[in-house]
Amino acid sequence: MSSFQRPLSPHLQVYKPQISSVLSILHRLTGLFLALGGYVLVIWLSLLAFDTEGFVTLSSFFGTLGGHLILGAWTAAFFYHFCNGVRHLFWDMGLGYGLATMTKSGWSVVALTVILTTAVWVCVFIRWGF
Amino acid sequence: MKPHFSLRTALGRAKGLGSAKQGTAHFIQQRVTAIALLILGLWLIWALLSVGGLTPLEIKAWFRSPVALVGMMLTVFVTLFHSYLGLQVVIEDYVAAPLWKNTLLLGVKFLSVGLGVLAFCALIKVGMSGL
Repeated sequence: MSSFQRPLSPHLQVYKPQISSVLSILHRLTGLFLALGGYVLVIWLSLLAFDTEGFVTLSSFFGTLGGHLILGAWTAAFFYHFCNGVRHLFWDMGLGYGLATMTKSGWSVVALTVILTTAVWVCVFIRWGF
Repeated sequence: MKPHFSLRTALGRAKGLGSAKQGTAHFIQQRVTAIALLILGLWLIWALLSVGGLTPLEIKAWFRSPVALVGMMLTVFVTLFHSYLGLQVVIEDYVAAPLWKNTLLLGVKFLSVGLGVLAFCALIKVGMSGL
């Protein structure tokens, strides 16, 4: 007896995006992007050790505008995942589950991400210019 | 009154349906590596800002300090472990077909371990050169 494809009740098409759900999926997405960044970090270190020419090629790519944008994205992803990660650790301790607290901590994470990412890149531009 | 027979079906028991009865270790490992990365991650940002713009030779010299060498090794290993744990959960969430799921899980595991060994060799070479 074969079962036919039953219809699923809609979720993404009907549920209003909220600070809870959006930040949750963003934590997962930034995590995936950072995992990729980790792999690139290993490649970068390996080139430094084993292939100086390749290392210079990769490093100069990161010096281009496109490279800067990618590094900026990784910076933002890092600080977001970091701050929301701390928020998660508080939840693991049983704290901060109230709706009002969750909303406040959520928006704080967003604000901190913007502030910290900007701070790092201001330092970059002060140190090395555009 | 508790029934003296099992409410589980034979097929369900054979297929291993229901609670996995394990996962606490994964949960704890994810949190422990996360806490370590609170420190290591910030250090990594600082380290990358320190070596940005230096020549390859200068960067290699930078890695010869024990703090830099040990710091980068710890950062890479803990990051690879933490990301493996996270990817494991993502794959288990979204990939249902056993062949794909298990292939991806194995693949990510091998990738993480392989890159870890690669990073170790690279850092040892850089950090120990000109002993």
